[in-house]
Amino acid sequence: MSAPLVIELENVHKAYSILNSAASGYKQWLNRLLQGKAFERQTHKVLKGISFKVRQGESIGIVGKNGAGKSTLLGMLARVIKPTSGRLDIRRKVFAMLELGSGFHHELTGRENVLLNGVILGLRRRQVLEQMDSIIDFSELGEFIDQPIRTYSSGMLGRLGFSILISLSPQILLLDEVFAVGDHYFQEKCRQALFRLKERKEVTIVMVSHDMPSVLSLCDRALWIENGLIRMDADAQSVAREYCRHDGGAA
Amino acid sequence: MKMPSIPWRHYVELFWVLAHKEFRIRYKASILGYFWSVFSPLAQGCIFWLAFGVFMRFPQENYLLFLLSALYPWQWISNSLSHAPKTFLASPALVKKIAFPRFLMPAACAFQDMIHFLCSLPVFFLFSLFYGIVPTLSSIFFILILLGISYLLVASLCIIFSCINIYVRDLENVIPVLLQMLFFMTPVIYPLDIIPENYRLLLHVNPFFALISSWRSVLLHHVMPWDLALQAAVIAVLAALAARWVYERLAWKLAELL
Repeated sequence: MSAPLVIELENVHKAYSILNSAASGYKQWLNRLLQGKAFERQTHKVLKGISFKVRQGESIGIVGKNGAGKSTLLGMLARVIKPTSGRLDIRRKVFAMLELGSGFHHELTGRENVLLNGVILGLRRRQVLEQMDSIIDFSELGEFIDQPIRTYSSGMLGRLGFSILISLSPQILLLDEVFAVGDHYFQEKCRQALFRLKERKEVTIVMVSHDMPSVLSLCDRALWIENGLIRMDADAQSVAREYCRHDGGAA
Repeated sequence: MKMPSIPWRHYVELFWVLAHKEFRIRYKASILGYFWSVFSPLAQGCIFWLAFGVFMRFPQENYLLFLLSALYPWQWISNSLSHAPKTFLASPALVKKIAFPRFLMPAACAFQDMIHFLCSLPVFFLFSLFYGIVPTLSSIFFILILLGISYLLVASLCIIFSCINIYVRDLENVIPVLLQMLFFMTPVIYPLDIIPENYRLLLHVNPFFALISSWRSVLLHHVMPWDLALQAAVIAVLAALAARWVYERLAWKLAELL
């Protein structure tokens, strides 16, 4: 028996059009008009046919060099970026934090931001309020929770962001380099919390990271993206081995 | 991409949370807070009373009331629309990183300005009493209707402008000029009959003429000009349809362009 499919990508392409319309500055545009190139559409292909499937309960690490298309891929899974072509099927509520604390407003207090963020992420107000205490507890912000977050340090912001993410019982969790925030102690705490989530086998985790050890410790499977294509899709151990050998141990 | 059916209750909650946020940050870190929502229109009214009621003596009966009855609604429109192009630019992290119905952001901003406008209404009625004019109960009913029409128009335009400005950022420079032009093209500081007969038709091209005139009639004379209100309602519905059209075509690319 196998767990149900939650994410399915079939031959997904993404091309960004390079801004060369009149909106990128009329002087450049006039110049191109004289050269007869004003209406040419230039595109930059980021993903060139990605296909993979993810089953419920899997945890997948996406590795690859800068500019390989990892974040574009994650953005698509979060439904923020639309594929140019191909099929993208996501069958669960996605809970994406492509950046910890995105959507926080610096003038609001920590508590207000938790509610705002939770509802924006797709939860009901009541659900967020029910979890409020455990979120505050996990973040270890104590009385700072009622201060405007412009007074927070970046570590505190990261802690609050992660606490929201971990406490609101996500079905699909997308993480982009989230281990870059917080001190060692808190990073370890996040890792433990993710493990506990993982053990329940209900949550599916897709994470992008440059930090091989955290991919290895958390993910069963890894995707190696290179030049917009999947170079390798296998268990995390083998991908890590190949990736490190290819990179000459630079990573 | 498969989209789940629209969860309306979540939309409503999201709208409230976003509107609440706008309301909180407006007066955050100011000592008097919400009091400013009442105090600013009050102070403005007093200044106009001094300028036009005491010094300039405009040949218009109760000029202060006449002016405020159109100026307060105009300020709602003007505030909302001048901020609209920057709605998404103001919170790029939100738009780039989380998928949610984005049109709720400009819609919530317009709502916040509506609440602000509502705070100026008691001030207006205070000035009315000062001139010995007692508002009738039926005007509350008329006000509610006009609120609905105005909100639909303002929110729709905010959605349109906020989306377009991401593609062509010149819009945020065009809007203030356009608003100033419309301000003088709309009978706000002057009465309608000051305009020469052969230019009157031009007024109906102005999307805010019918609405502002309705507000003036309701607030000043407690009479609803149904023909004008209907005209305003038709304009608002057309704006809403246009907003939907624009949003469906432009919104998906917001995260890439910001």
